[in-house]
Amino acid sequence: MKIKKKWLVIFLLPATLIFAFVYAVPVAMLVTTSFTDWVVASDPHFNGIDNYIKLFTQDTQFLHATTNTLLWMLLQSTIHILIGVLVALILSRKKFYWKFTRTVYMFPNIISSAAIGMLFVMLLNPSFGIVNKGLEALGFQNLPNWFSNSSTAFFAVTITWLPFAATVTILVMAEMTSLDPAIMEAAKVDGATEFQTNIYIILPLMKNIIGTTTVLGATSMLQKLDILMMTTKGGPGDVTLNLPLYVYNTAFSAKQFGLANSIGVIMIVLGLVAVGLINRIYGIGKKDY
Amino acid sequence: MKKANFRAILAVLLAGVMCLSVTACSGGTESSSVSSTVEESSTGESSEASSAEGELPKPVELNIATFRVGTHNAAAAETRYFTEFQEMYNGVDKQKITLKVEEMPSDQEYYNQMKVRASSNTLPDVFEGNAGVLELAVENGIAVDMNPYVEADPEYAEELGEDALAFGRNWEDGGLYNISYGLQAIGYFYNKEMFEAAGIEPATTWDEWMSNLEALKTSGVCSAPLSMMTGENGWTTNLILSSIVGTSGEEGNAFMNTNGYIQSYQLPELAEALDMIKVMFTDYSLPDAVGSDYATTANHFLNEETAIIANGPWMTPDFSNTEKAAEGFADKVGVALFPENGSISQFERGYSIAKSDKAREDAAWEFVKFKTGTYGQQIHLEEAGTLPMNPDTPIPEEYKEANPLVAELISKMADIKWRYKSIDAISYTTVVDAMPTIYPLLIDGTIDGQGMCDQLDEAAAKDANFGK
Repeated sequence: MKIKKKWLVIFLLPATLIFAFVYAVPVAMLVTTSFTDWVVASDPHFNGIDNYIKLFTQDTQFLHATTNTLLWMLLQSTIHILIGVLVALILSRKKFYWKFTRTVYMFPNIISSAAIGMLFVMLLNPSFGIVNKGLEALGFQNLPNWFSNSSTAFFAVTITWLPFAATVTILVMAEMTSLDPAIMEAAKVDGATEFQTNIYIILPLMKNIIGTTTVLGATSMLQKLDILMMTTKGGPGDVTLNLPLYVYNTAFSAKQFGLANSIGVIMIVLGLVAVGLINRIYGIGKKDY
Repeated sequence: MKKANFRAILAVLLAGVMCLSVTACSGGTESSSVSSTVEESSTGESSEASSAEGELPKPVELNIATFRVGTHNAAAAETRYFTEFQEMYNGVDKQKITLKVEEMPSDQEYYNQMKVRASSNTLPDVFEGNAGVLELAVENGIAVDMNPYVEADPEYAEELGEDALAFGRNWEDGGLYNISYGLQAIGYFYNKEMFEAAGIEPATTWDEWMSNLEALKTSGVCSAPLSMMTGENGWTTNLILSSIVGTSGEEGNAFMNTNGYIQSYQLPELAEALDMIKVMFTDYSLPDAVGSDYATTANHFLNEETAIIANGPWMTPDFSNTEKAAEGFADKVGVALFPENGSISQFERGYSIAKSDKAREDAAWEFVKFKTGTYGQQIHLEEAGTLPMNPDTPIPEEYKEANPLVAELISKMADIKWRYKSIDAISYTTVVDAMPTIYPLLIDGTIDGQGMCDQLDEAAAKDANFGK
């Protein structure tokens, strides 16, 4: 038993040390300095919860960024997941097109986000973009500058990531392969239609993986920076500003490191709340049968 | 038993692979982050001492960082500086000074890194101090006051000219923390054929400017006469905005010559100018001007889709570059001062030296002196189209013949009535960064000129250095 424990410690030690230095120490520093007035070229001084009060009571940009981030988390947890699961259900029928579709659907997920951003900048360009040209050919006029108009920018940015749910599809399809064929056969014998099988048998059994992908989808919205940098930089105004971009602006443009770290802490809290909430909704880890 | 052994071996192997992969990953991350942002290359020769080295100061290796690489318009000038400096300071006739050059992919990346380094006292020996970098270095006491060097070398001081020196000494303590390398003199370029076809001449007033735009549009010469942009730092747009305000009268001109940074954007002339800018976007620019970057907007002018672009003389090489413009395009381009004889006329901030040991500071000074003296100014003029700081700096006739537009601009400089700075040069970084996101609101009608002034105030107040 003692030998086992020794090996356990030896094997866990490298990962624990790496975690401590790469995550735990920076997070501790982040939290500590979020209670300071640290700006560039000055030492941090403790200022209590002033940064947090300022953010929630005076900083309208922060409030807009938070609202946008929450909205994107919600969209990513619902519509994005729904699309991914639907595609998985369709492809699981393994018709002649399934391999081709699966590969093509994966493309946006293997291209770098920056390239995706550039791609959409070109597609939605108001002068030569294929979208406006196509709509013009269909008779539409006065088409917007999608990324630069305050009434279309949010939609334009959202469309760069919302439909591309290949990761969800792949994970759900992988989970489907582990289903006991006897259950499906029993459903068939009982005369269940394909729709009924999907709704009453497959989807409930996919609950854990759908919950997990929802966690991944929601928290990915707390990391979204590159596409915004390539497309709108948070504009027009703060229509497409999210929390990661606001942290970047606060740290590197405004040079207010203490305030930026406060936003970082709020993002961590948001992430934890989202994970907890989704776990609870889906009952991840609990067995149904 | 066999099964247990197999599991144990597998576990050990797995742990080994994991450790290796973690090690490899961490190493890989470090090197990739370095190579993605900073590419190091030494332009120096091998460190073998020369015979004369004994009499000369000890060899020094200077750390330099630059963003003038690749397709940057001053990349050729930078390469020439480095090469010729190395040849000169080769350890035979002069001290051996080797340059260890860090190449950075963009000026934005450069200044972001320099800000961090200025805070942590790890600046390169010679650095550029835009975007608040030098303010940080001076505040932290890590920038070298170059006054003693200049005072000891009156010939060099003359090469710079009094105005450029006064610009460098524009600090509270009178320290000379930056030495400029050139003068930005900016007007606008126009397509002479298009102007002729529309029956117009370069405008002398802003009313005439607007009527010119209308004439270009209604005559069918081009649907969108202006090359405007809001992307990146909204450069070409901000030049026109600065000019409208800078030529609007004494108050507007004083605003555009603000010493330091603008503390408040509440100026009626600015609000009116922004309303004019809105019209220029909505009525006289291409649909992709909102959100456009410099490359796109320049491309429209080079492809004769637009008739006017505001920019400095460094753009002129593009007019005769057949990869960017059609053969003979350069002959179609004219240059003019802004209406009311206005011109953005400001010194480049130039170079600064980071505090170090005396030998290193002295070597860094030699490099700064090389880049900013008469010869250095000529290199910048020839290779990058930056005008010399000192009006007495001789401009070779061959250069004038090869660059008639720059020569024309230099000759027009005598007519300048209003001199002013660009709005980027006198705005906090937060404002410069916010402008590309606020312009679209102005253009789509969400806010008006006054509304944009209010938003610029809000952006300024966010800067850590605001009010200091």
